[in-house]
Amino acid sequence: MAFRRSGRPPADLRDPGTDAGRDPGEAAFVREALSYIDSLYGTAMRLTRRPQDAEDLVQDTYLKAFRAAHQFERGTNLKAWLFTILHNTFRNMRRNVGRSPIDVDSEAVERAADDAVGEHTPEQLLTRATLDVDLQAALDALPDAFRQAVWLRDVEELSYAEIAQVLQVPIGTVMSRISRGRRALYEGLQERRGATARRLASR
Amino acid sequence: MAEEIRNCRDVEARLTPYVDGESASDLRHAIDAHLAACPPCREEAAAERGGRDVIREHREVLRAAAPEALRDRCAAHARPPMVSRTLLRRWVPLSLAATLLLAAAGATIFSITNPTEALAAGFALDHMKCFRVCDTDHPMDASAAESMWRQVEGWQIAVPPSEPAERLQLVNIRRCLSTDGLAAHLLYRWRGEPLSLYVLPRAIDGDHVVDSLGHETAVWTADGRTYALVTPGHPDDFDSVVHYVKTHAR
Repeated sequence: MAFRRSGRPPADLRDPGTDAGRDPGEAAFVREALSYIDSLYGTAMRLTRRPQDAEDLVQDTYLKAFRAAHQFERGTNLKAWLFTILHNTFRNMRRNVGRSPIDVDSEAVERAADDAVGEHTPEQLLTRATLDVDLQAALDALPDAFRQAVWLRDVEELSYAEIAQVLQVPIGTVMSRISRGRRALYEGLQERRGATARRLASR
Repeated sequence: MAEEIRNCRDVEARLTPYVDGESASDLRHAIDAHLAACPPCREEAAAERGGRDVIREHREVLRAAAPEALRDRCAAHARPPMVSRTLLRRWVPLSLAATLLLAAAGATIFSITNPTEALAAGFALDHMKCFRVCDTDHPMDASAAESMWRQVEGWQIAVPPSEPAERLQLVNIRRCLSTDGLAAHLLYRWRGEPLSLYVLPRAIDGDHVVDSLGHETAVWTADGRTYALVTPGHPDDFDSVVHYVKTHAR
């Protein structure tokens, strides 16, 4: 039953020891990879809706990325590669946990919207303040597939081809999801603004 | 040759690059001409542009900054281990990075064909990772850990409490991502050494003690769940802590 190492590991698997002996290209890879941490965390928050899960997801993404660094094709987009790992990890997580965090969050958004009504003047509400809350809510109300495509395009500014790689769908599907997502978002936002205005008018 | 725009469907399929300003110029002119003559398509284009613009204008509000501690933990994954270096050297004469690489190639190098061995290797790696990145300095109350787990993860586990006679102390609990987020990972200090208990809500066959990556790993199944206890090296009195945990983990 037990298995044990036999002999010495091949030279390239031996303890690299200190940073001094490391490949400078590797150091640059690590630095660049870590520069995307806010993007990865923001996306992970949007996917998982829970800070602890988002942190776990980002940490796992970096662990896998550094472990598989040799598979990264130099000269291609590292950010898109990291997003691909993040989304794959998220898909596996969700497949196994079998529980959607989305219900929890839509309640939180509703609460936030109600709070906002109490704390601001109607003028502020209709201009800046509600827009953020309404926008968050409208974005969260989109089907996951649309939201992910829109997010990667309009917040993270990936190309259609990169998004196709991250979401593992054909490029035509990417465009159609972005298109439908943006339109649904716009329409949802119009409705929410109308509802907020009516709620304020009835006070 | 320019792509033809014959009907509304042709426009819809090309709307996103059009709105993004990424269409070739003759295609753009063709779509412009169609939109000028077709109010429904014009409305669709306006809605898509409206959604696009509102997100782009509020991009910074939608983004989130990663916590500093997370940044540090992620950066730590890129470095050879700093903490417990002597300990790792004693039992595993490889850096964590190299060990992970070995695990990735494990199926071929070690011919891991047995699912228990593969599971044990996964737990041994997660054990090393978590003790490097998690807070293990503060004792944790077992019943608090149980209720937190029930609330957050939605299923119940029995957490064996700290036991002074065994010199066993609970220090943390987290969801183990190495089993695709399925297992509960309880972190203990046992006689000063890190010790992990994993609870997996599904059964595998039989009881085993496996030496995996320099870690002694006991795996057993009870009541439809699988348990694994992991600690570095080959402690002589491993049986006693296994017995204690088996008694208190159900």
